[in-house]
Amino acid sequence: MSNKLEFYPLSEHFEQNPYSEFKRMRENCRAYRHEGTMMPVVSLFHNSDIRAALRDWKTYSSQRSEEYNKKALGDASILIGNDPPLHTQYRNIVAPIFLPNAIHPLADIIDQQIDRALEQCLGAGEINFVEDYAANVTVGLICIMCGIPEEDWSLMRQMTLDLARDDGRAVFWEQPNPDVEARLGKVMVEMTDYFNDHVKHLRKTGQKSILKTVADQVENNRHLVGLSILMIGAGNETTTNLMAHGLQELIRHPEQMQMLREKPELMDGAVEEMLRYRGTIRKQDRIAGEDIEIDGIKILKGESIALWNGSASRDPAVVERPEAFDITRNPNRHLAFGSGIHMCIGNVLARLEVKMAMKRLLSATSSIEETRGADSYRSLKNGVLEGAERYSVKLMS
Amino acid sequence: MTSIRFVESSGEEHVVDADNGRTLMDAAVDNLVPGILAECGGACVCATCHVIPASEWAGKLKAANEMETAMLEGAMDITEHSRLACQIEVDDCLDGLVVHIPENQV
Repeated sequence: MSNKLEFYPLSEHFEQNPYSEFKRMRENCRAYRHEGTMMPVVSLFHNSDIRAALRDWKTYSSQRSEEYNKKALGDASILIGNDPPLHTQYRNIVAPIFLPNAIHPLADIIDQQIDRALEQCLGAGEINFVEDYAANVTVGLICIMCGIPEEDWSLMRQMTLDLARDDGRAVFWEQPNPDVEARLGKVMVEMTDYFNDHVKHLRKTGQKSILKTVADQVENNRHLVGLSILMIGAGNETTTNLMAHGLQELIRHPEQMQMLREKPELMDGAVEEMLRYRGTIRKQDRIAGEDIEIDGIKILKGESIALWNGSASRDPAVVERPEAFDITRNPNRHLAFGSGIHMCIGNVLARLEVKMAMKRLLSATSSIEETRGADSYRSLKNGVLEGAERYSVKLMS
Repeated sequence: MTSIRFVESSGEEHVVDADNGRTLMDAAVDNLVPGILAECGGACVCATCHVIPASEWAGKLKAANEMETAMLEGAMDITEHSRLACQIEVDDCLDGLVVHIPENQV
């Protein structure tokens, strides 16, 4: 067996063992140049390197090419795939919508979505927690915020899943994937048509919604549609997965579940630990804005850099007992939302809805059990993104 | 070094020696002062390093720029003296500065 260090984030092995793979890489290198990928790409694993990279947008640029976007989020890369000044222009438009004083008044709407989801799930026997509870809350909320009528909510969810299935993987492709590109292209065309019509409708009726607020300030139609898709997609996939994986960890750690049931006031810290331990966005992409050298690995200007946030949040250099799931952990300085100018704009909303949804879930149930043994959980098989396809459980009131 | 006194909403105090030329947020984060998340690391995009300087210090700080003001408008429980710690650079004039940390940042 070769002693050469190898790391394949698209492999079944990584899919099954992501965190032990991160540990192995952290212990063996700071930077790893992938071999055989179509794009030259280097992965970083250490908290200090990733934190520094996220805070230096010039050296670690987010600017994507059109060609790259075809393999990823297309026009929806508008905020995450640009540098200042374009990034600043759009961030300034979208940021006020997601700041704390705009988000906290949404608590009543979140509660209503939780009521609906609980009604559907309690006493219903086996449920798919991902769709029947978590996505029910998150999709309803972001769609209400965006003024999307209820008959279209399932379409929004389907679109999100279509985009999420391969999100973040293209940088490691070893050969072209025309099927994936075609599927992404089809979704983008459908959603572009949808949002063109939807924005027209919002403008005509004057219906208040965050999309109308954005539409009033964005002239470029492609950019507007991109921002719409990004807000819808990021607004439900990340939080849905976080709830599913948070529940999975609580079931795996019954003493933590019991403590949280007895002391619901620990939920704030519990959600931070879920973010650290199983945050949905495991990796962020950057492009070298200049030639860089890290730990003897030369990265040329224009080459891709994969920043593994999922590894950074478990780096023992900054986190004590990083492999332990501990809802009382304090401080908990994870990188689940990234950092720097691209830090997750929806972090306040994500935190609030997951805290509320998990708190109500525990208070409404006496126990929650997995229903299919080892097969209760099925991953989205993305790997780069911590995604859940199905989580079969039963809620006992 | 400049001495800064951070006061949590519970009343607990943390006196730290801050490096001149760095920000108040850096001083808090470097010394693990609770209640200042500072998640964006000083990019002025998250409003989670909200602090309230003691009123007697308000006039001695450089005024907030447009970007800081816009972010503060979205923060929780702001007061007329509210500031973002990442936008305040530490220098000798701030020796003895007292800043209060709000109960919640997000």
